Amino acid sequence: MIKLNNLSKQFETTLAVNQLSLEVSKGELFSFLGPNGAGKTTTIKMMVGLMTPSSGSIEMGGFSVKTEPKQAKALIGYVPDAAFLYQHLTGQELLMMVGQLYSMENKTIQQEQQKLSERLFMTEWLGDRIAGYSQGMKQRLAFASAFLHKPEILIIDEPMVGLDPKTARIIKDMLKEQSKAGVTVFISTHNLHVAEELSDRIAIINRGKLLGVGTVDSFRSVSGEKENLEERFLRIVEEEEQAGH
Amino acid sequence: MFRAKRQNIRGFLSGVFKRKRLEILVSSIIVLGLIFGGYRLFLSGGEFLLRQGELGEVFLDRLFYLGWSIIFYLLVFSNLITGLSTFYRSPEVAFLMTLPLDSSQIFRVKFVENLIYSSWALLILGIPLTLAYGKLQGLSIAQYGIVFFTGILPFLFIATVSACLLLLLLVTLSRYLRMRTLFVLLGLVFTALFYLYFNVSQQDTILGGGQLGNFRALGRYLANLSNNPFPLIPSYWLSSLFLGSESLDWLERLFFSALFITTAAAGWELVSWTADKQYFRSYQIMESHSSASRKKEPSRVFSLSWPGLNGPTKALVSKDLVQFMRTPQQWVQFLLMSFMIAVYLINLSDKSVHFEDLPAFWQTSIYIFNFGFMGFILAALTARFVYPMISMEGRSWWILQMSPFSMKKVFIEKFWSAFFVLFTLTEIVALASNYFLGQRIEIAVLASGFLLLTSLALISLSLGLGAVYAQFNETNPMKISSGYGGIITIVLSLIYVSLSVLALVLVINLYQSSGASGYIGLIVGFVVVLTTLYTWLPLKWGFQAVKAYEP
Repeated sequence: MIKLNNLSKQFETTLAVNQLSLEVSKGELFSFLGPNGAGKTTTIKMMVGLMTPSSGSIEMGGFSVKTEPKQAKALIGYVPDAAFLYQHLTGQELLMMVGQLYSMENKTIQQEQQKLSERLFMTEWLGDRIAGYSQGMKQRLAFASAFLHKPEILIIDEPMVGLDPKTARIIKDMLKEQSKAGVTVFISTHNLHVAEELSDRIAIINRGKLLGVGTVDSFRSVSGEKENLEERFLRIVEEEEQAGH
Repeated sequence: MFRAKRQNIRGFLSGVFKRKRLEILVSSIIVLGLIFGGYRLFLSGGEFLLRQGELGEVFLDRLFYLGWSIIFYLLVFSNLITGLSTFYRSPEVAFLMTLPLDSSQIFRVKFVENLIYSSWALLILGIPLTLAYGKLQGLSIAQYGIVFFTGILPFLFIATVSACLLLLLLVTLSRYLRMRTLFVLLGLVFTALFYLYFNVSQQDTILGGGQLGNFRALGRYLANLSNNPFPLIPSYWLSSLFLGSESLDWLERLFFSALFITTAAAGWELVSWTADKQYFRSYQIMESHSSASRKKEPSRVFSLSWPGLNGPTKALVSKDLVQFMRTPQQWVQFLLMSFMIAVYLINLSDKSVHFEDLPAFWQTSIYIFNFGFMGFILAALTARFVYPMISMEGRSWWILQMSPFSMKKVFIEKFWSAFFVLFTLTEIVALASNYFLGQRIEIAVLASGFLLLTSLALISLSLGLGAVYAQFNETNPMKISSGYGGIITIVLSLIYVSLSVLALVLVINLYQSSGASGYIGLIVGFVVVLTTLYTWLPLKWGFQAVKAYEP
């Protein structure tokens, strides 16, 4: 469903993503782990078409993001790490606008909006202007707008940022449900507990380079002895940094 | 605070100079070219008018006075609208209010910021006009210096003082009435005052009434545009300071300079005193509005059916419309500009004016002036409202970038939305003014055709350059349009309008003298080629810039 092939991104003198290759299957819940500045957000922005790769290719649901962007984007629902939303619109208007951007019928948009606002506890404030929302409210709205058009691929950058524990639980449940329903979920995070709890598979990235891909269990027991994911993650990143120097 | 601001600006400028040297060099050449070209154009136009005798001299003086009156009006309102963001909505003010500072100190820093933001673009655009007029009046270098330091600078200062006082009053009153209502009322009050001033206090004195026979109509036209110069406003003092030694002796010059300086000083004292008492209170009132604005509002625009528009285009149009109506800096200024146009039309509709009695030369001059005015209005509207359209998407631009359509669709939607509104507005104004002026049908059609081309060119230019110089982090549309790219846009727009006016003059002259139609074809062909370049190139560059933009 998601295929990254030798993907690189160069910013002037910095190589943010270095020859990254990955495949994520349909219905899989995949976590992309890495410390701050590892290249996670850059990779995600290239996957959703917000950035152009310096080299390499990306396929989403069989469509090339470069040559068939409309078809590829129609399959994707995206939640950025900091969701900047139109301040002067109300939440309701934003959802209506996003639905119309994806050519949905007004009636369908309203039905979906109703379901999502109940599920994410947004009903009370969805008619207010976004300018007055807290970070957590904006994040919930961003989730709702990503789920609205029933995407086949969900790409989420730091899913739990700004969410209270109750909403975080709801989002985790929703992501699991989506994955079970056949939606491919790709999340980027530096929160290891989230990755451990949700993921079918994880990938670790540092300084733009992919350091490993596998299931959580395969990471934990790589040297025959069980480590927790955090210790294993820190060791992999440290080894890579030492090798880099 | 001033030191921090200075360091911030220095850091910004050194960064820009490092990254965009070539761009700055090219743009500076364009700006200097406009200043010089504009100067030559105004000078030639002025010399031409002066050759027409006493009437031409009066016409020139009135145009200059009218120019400064319009600039004063625009300055007050641009200061007022920018002030809303600068004094109340800026996150920087919110931060400064938490520091152990006196609110009047914050006000003073923001006052200077507001003065600079609102005035620098108009100041640059006013240079060619003032240089040319000064030269025509025979001003010496020393007299230019006096006019600049004791005339133009206090003029800008007084406009900012007036706007700040008005703003403090409006925000205080917003406790009782919504800001939207207050701005509409303010616009209506201004329109009513203008109307009364032009129509009730009208004195037909400038040309001595019947003595000049059918020139009376011209007198009425000029008087309707600017009325007899009103001695209590700064535009009058500035126009007077520009007079040469023959018309103004040193004592009178000293009087007007002193008048400017003392008024500015008194204005500063008054605004400081008012800010001392009222700024913090008014800031709290605005803050309480922000919290209170979280009440429910029914949203209907998105549910409306727009004939002929598909889902994504409908969403884009609805979003732009709702955003425009909810951004006071946008709709208030549009409203005020509309009021200004309405005043112009009301005055043209004066039934006592018989333009048909005028000699052909003056009839044509008025038609051309009217067309130039339309071009100027369109240039101002496009630079102010179309140029910031892409930047106003702000950091929410990603929503459109990752939607399943090409960014070309966004561009096309913005182009046609702007075209529909602005072309309709200017065409209505053109048709109405041509009707009031009793213009012949063929010339009215020609002027409408030129206006169509002007709309295409100026909207494309503003939209395209607005994308090239997009500032997605800036939320104040006034600041966006008075930025560097905004200045380049208005400069290029004015060049286009000047060339169109020149072409129209030539075409009318050739037509009236039954000149060779081949030349007319050539001139029209030149305007078409110029329009094509103005339309195609900026849109192409803008689209490339938008496509390459990575958040």
